[in-house]
Amino acid sequence: MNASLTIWTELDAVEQFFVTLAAIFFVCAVALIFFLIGSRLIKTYRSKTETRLQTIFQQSLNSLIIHTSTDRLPSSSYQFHLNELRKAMNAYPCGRQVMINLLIKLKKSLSGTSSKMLDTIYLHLDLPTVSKKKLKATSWKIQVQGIRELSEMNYYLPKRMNALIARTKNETLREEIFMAHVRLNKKNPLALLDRYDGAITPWMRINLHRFFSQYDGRTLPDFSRWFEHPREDVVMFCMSMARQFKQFNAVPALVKLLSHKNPMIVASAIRSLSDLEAFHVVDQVVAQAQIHWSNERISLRIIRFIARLGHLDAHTYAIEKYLEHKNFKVRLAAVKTLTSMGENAQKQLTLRNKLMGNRLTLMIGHASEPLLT
Amino acid sequence: MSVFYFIVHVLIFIYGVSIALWYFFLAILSMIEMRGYLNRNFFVDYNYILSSPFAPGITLIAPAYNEGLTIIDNVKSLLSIRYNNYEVMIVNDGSTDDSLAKLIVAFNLVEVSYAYEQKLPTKPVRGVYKSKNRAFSRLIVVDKANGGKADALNVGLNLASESLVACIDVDCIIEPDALLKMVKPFLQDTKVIASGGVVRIANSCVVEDGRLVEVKLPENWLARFQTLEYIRAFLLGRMAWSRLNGLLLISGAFGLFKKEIALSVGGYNTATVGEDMELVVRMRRRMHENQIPYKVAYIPDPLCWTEAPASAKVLGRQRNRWARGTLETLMLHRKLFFNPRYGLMGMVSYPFWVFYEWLSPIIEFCGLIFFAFLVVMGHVHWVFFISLILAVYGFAFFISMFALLAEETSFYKYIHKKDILKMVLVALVEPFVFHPRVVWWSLKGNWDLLRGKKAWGEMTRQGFAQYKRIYKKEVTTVV
Repeated sequence: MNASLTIWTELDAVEQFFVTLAAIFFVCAVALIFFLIGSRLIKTYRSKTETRLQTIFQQSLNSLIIHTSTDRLPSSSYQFHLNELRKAMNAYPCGRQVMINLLIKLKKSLSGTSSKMLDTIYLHLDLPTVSKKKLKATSWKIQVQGIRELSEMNYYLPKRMNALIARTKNETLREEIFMAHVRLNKKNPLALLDRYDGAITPWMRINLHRFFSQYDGRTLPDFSRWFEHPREDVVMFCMSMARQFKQFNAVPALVKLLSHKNPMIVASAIRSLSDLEAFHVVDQVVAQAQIHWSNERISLRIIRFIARLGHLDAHTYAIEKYLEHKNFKVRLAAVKTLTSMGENAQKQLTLRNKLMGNRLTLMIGHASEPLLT
Repeated sequence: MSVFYFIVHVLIFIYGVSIALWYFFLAILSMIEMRGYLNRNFFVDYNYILSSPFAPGITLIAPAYNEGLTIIDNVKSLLSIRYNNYEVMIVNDGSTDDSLAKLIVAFNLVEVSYAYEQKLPTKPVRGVYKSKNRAFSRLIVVDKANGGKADALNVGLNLASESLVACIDVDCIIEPDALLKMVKPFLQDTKVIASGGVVRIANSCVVEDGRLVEVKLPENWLARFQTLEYIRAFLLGRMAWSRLNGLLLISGAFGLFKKEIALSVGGYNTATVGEDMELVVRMRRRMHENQIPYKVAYIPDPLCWTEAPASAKVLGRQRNRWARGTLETLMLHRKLFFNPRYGLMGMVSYPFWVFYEWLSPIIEFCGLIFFAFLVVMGHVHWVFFISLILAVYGFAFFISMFALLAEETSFYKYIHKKDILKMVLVALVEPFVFHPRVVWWSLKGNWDLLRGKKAWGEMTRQGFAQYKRIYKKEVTTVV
């Protein structure tokens, strides 16, 4: 100790500064090592506890779900299992959270009465209190967790969350509140769309599509209602949904969108009309070729629309015009379409190729290649 | 003379303090961004993308040169990635071995007539092959004359039919969920033009049928040093730059790009060996010059596993190439240097690369020379020297531990109990054993570039098969 003190006093101020700095770094590094080891131990313990709890919960939940499906569950038995769950849950601090996670996980793979049974268990175990407490947290992640739990378990979302959607700048939180509304508002899931000023990102589109896929087609909202929405991303989203869920009643509104000023919306409208097989509006669609001749996306959509007619008709001339389009993809799509339209179309293509100095030969080869279709 | 010493001392001191502060700042920022990323994606179910009709199409472009030893397993691995709307394009860059013949036999390939637009100039394409077996309908093999990795990637860009292109190294192991995770930034923000993923070291990991089944710390010490180095670089460095939207480098081993933008800037530069960094810088420059808002995203999940060079000779070649690639890119885009027109990229990212990535090995080397000179002249104040070295060493050790903390609190891949202690030991030894060699290889790379060296440098790999064999042997013994 004395020796160290002697060395220390012999150092000048700068040297003392560096040695102190080195000591701080080493102490911090050693603290981090202890933290890492501690973290390992805690993680292992937590993982073991969670696995054990899940096994216990799963047993009771299985019996409850099986009884529900066979419709032979006496009230005493239900209470017994519920008490078992409560006991196990309260034995560990993380018990309630493990239970909520397990219920949400099970809900994803169940439907009908079994799924409703899980909602009831969530309610009877007083777990909404745990989820609602999270809504008051300062961390947005915890808030999101609470919202997700309440919406997944078909509970309700407190009204103050509606105000939060307009107030918060956190995109994840906004999206989560929006999705919760969609999940919980069974009668009018997209009610929030009228006043939602956030963007409907492709990611939200995927989530919403997934959600609506589980809906009974007859109860789906009429997406054409929002085709005149001031936000273009909302219009695009609704068109894609109308297309995916084959809402044929959207056709008149889609035809109106053909005159929209945004070419992206026009392209999407043509695609939707094509997927909805609204071939009776082929004149209006082909007319877009004149207006949007240089637009690659719209040109491709028009070609695919005509291709879906599947036979030569008065509109095939439009495709022939596209054979001379400046864009390679458009020309190739036109060649592919003519190749797939039968013998007469192929003859026309061959003739056209000759007139064009065999510039289409490679494309014809590509389009005729069965392994490339 | 004393004035000269004083000036040199002060300059080196300022440089040392500034580099330490920068790394510390980046480390903190990385941790914040990492927490944000984990929180944002805590509830994300990537399977939604898998089953969605709205998932964008992806073309995986994998250039291959003389990969005959492992190519079949690698392609099988790529074909089993979990994503619905993707194609795998293997570009055989004029291999002199039996790579193409093996592919033709294994996947029942036949040559097809394939029309494409030559948007980027490349070496001639000799043939395009498709499989007669519908099970491999996603696979396209392109055979072309040898032109280097960048040229092969450009061929892939010309032929790709999807809107997003993932450029990967064929010898890497891609995690099954990699595309699902990489595509998410594009879905969440339409301004994203590219996303990069973390590359991890796969040496000693257990690999079965092209899939990584168990993560292990490398047994080889050189690979172990690189493991720590990669964790530091990817989890602490790039994560922070991503937060600042100042990322200049997406590893060539695995990156996802918007095809139209990559094509519009002219694709990969065949004149540089740092084609991955150069493309990202050029894409970003174009967006700035056209005043289009954009983002370059970064995914910290370990999505791509690569075999690190296990011999000093091969590692030296790799680092030499990296150094040349960095300098070439920096020289090509010198216009960015402190140019406010390019925003954060011009004012912060680019100067950071110049001062702390390119210049640091040179300054370290000059420092050593200066130190040797002082020793000879008898001007070294040894107590001061030792205290300074202690502070520098302490900082290096602390940053390495911080990187391990980032790993532990995020992806927690090295789960064996002894791994932490092994990594601590690596961090203690690395500044003396590994770092000086890295500095030397970087210097040599800079010198070679000045001498006009353009070669890629042969990268001999041992292949993942050895780990598989070891694993099987162990299993047999246990049974």
